[in-house]
Amino acid sequence: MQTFRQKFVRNGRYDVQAQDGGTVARPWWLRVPPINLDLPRTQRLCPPHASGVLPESLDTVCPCYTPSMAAPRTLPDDPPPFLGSWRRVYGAVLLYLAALIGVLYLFTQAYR
Amino acid sequence: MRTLDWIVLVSSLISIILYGLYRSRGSSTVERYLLAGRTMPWYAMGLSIMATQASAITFISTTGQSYTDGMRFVQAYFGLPIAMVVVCATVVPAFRHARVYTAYEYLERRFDSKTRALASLIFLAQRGISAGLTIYAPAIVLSVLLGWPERLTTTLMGATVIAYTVLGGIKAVTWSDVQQMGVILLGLIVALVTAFVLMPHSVSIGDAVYLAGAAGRLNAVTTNFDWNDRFNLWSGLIGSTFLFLSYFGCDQSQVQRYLTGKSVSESRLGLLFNAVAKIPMQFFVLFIGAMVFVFYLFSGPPLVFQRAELARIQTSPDYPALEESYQRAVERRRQAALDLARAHRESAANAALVTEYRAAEREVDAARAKAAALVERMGGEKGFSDTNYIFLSFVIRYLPAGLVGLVIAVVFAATMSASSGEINSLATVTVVDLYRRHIRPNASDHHHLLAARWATLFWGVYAVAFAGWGKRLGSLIVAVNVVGSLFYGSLLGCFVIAFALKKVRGTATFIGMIAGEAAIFWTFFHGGISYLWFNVIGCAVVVGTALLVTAIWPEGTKQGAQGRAVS
Repeated sequence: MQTFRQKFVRNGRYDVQAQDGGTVARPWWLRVPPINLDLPRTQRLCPPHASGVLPESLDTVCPCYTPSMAAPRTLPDDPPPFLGSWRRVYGAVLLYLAALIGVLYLFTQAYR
Repeated sequence: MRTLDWIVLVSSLISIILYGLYRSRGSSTVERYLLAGRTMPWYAMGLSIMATQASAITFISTTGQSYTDGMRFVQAYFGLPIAMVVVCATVVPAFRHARVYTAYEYLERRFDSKTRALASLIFLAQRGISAGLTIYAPAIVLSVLLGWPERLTTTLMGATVIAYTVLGGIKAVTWSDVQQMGVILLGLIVALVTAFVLMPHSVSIGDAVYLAGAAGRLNAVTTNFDWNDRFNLWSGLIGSTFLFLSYFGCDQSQVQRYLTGKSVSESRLGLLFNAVAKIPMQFFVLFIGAMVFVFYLFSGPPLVFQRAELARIQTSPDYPALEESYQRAVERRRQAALDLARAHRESAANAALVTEYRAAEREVDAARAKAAALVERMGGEKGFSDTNYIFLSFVIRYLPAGLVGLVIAVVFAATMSASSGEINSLATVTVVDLYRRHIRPNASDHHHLLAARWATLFWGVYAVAFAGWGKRLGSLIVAVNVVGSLFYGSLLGCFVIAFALKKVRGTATFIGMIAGEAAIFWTFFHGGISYLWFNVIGCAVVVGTALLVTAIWPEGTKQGAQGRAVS
């Protein structure tokens, strides 16, 4: 089994290289073109990232930050225009759904 | 159609198109053309999302669905508010902060390029077919109205949509939708009022609702659980939640709408507006179909609503006997309905009348089923269904001058809007995820803008070519959702992994998506269960397979720091 090391590349992504400098063994049907390092990005990399110096944790306000799968909860959030928090707004929507289903159920029973 | 109808139709369409184009001026960069420069307010997004869903298919097919099967289709939307909450809480901020053009662009940042490419291709295949169905729907209108061949009308509609979309971009689409929603609501109210007004004077609104209920047309909530039943409370709450999670979380045609928002809050409010308003609107549309059913209790519906097919079977030697038995059944049902309405008004005992009414209804249904079988025997489509023609036949035959043109304009405009949104998203994925990513990454913004316009043209032609497939799929509204469900499950599984399973990476997800698609298609051909469950099955197989691959081959795709994947 090969071992891998990670290498930060210019467009802000990691790439994989074999430890011994050889190629990564993959089945032919999983081989894909390498990432184009000149790929235009929606956001330019900030200087620390562009220079290849990756901090321990990415700053969430950095324009080139890509949130991880767990990140959305920690991202800065605008408050809703009513009910104080988004959690309450979501709760209100779900309560509305429950009430709507109840009303439609009664409607069905009334005219069955 | 009369002259006044044509005037209303043409002027409505021209004003909607010109308004959209006026609001879209300045779409001179890729970001402005594809994402409206991220400047749209929440109400425009919300109405646009609703208008896209409430395409011509909503008018044509949902009303027919209610006429033949009752209102239980509304349950297919019960999962929408749940899905909207999940999408608003997780997907919207992730996409917005990543500042991506497409949902699949995010997948490359999370996984790798092959996963992004596979997701993009799945979307293109699915949405391309759906775009064809969307264009096919109004072609029915013209074929019923003018007797034109559906292929010709499909091509004409497609050409109009293509021109409009190429010129306007997403901004034109969105602002046109806002205007169209007003027209759609007006058209709905007009159709309902007309159905009530044209009923016999002795039948009140309460009687009409009662008759619809007695015939089983007001079955909005059905609580029995059956895997083979397409629409019940459970498939609605569970299955459609997955469907709408897929639709709004993974389908670029919807993702692109809320990516145009000014901020995360605006995008969320637009989606939540849809969550709150969609079910009542769908209920209203289905209720119109139920009232059209009641209207036809008293006015004698044709044996087959599609005139071309009716003309076909009229040459059969079996037709006279079938028509005679049908007319007898219709008259029996009309009399039973009148008796039942009178008993209801007088609060008299009516159990026997209800039995007679339902027996007559079954007799009418049986005659219509024989007619459908006769259509097939006479060389018509296999599995013939005239569901899509019921509402339009009512509109054309019974609405007064001017209002017919208005309703037809609504149908056309909604179709143009929905199709243009779909074609725009197809072009976006083609250019951003494939062309700009793999073919010409270094080209100028102007070059990619031109590429987006050419891609729009290509997908418009593709959609028109696929439009002919729609007539083989029965009810259009169901066909669209079935096609979506064939692909959405694996896309959803991919995004579930992206957002929820930190340890799973690109290759495992890629293999999982292929396994998910295989499982969905196997279920489609051999499973015999409701399409709403395809999303659940596909998603589960993708996630399960990806987890299995990760467990077996953990070194294959090492995870980088900060959640970035190694390709």
